[in-house]
Amino acid sequence: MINYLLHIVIISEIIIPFAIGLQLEIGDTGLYNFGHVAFFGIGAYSSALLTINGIPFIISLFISLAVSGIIAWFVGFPILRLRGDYFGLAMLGFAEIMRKFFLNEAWLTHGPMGIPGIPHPSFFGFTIHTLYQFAVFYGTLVLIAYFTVHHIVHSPLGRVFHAIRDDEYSANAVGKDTFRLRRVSLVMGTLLAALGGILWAHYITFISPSDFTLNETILVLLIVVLGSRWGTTGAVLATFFVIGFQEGLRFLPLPESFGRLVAPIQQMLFGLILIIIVLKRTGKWARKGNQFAQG
Amino acid sequence: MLRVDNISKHFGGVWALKNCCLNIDNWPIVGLIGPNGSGKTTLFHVITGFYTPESGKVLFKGKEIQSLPTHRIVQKGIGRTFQLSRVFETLSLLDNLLIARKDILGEKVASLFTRWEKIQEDESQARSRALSYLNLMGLETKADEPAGNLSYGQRKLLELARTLMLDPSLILLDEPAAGINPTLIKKILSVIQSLKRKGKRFLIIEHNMDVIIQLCDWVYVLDAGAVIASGPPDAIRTDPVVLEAYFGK
Repeated sequence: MINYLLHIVIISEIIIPFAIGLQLEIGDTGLYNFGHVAFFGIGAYSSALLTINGIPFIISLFISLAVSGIIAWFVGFPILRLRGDYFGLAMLGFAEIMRKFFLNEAWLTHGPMGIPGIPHPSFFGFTIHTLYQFAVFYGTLVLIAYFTVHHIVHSPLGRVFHAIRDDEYSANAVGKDTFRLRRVSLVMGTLLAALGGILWAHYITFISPSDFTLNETILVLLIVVLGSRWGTTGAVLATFFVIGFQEGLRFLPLPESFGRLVAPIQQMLFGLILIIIVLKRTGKWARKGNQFAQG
Repeated sequence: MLRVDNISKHFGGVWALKNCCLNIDNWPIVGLIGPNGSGKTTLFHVITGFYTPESGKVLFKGKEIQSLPTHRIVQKGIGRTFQLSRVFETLSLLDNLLIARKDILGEKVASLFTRWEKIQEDESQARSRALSYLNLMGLETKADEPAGNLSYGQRKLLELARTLMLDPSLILLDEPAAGINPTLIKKILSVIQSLKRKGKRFLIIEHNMDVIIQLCDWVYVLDAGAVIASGPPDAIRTDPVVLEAYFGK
């Protein structure tokens, strides 16, 4: 039982960077990135491929983060020219392209078979094996990520992100290069997503294209929407809540034949909760009419 | 200071501006009037780079700016307000002003983790300057409230303060007096006049003729995207061409 609780904590620790990255993009900068999962996948795949080819975990961690950040930088160049929902849809398309890439470029990604046997994290000759070690190591990384993001959000840089979220044209009118700043936000969010993906790959030790689908985007979107009122901290708490809820469903006294329905019903439930929250929260999210008054 | 040279801009088949020319070099405060839909705000959008014109030039301090992005034009020293005032609603009034500065150290990623103390020093200096502008507008008691709480007129004042914070040499005001009570209008007028004495230049769109007459040294009249008349405000008021544009024959 305690192992199972530890497992839930570790899964939450993996999802937290993924979620606070999206919170930084959507909640703080107003970038409706519906393809966030692509970068979770890119992080996971690059670190998996590097480490099974003998690169040490620590080096692979930094290379994978850099690879994801650079991809986001280039992807941002065309896609950040779009705004609002259009940006979100283009990112959704990008995530689908990445999934197909993982699925079909078998020479690199092993295709639908996925990559088994990803080594556990190790550094300076020490390899992590027990769940306790995972929870502590991942927890430390997550704390560093959390305080870094917290620092950024409460700095002048976070202030200008918020200004862009509130009114991008006004931000232009006070001399801000909003294209560059939105790109900075996208890359930061991506680094966090990639960190989550890396932690995921080295904990589960097996990844396949089906781990990085729209369902994961919906899960993390639900987390961000739930916690958005309380910013970065809200995303952290919402992660524990949603992951706990998701895992807790397994303990419902359901008849055996009903068991196979739990997963799809859970997806439907998450979708439903998301719709309800967004409908309820008309305030900050719905009032986004960024149009010029003609004179 | 600012010269608009043969600017044309169309939306689909409609010419919002057609060979529009104006020059504000000789007067510190220039008014821009004209019937609704005559292209005044479009001209502001062109000058500040929100729209790229189809043809023509905008010269600011002798340099062409018509193809620069907005933030570059603003950094060169043109500040503006919007017709329907646009403030950062979730930011506090103070933050609305603090953000309106050039080259903020704390907005650079690398310095966030290496020069935090310098950033805080910068911010506290800027804070006292921002507070003095809030004082000027009578908004100092609300400094820490989110700007979304402000009334329509207060938003206009905040937007003006935010523009001043940038310390631009030319300020474009889009209907600064529209929908504002007379006391506040007086306040805005006195602020503009005191800034004029400090050497700031203004280009002002306004429908309120009293405001135009009190403030402006020169007035351009736009109709259907072109300048149809210009002159000192008193002369413009009785110009038959202008009256025709407003009221028809």
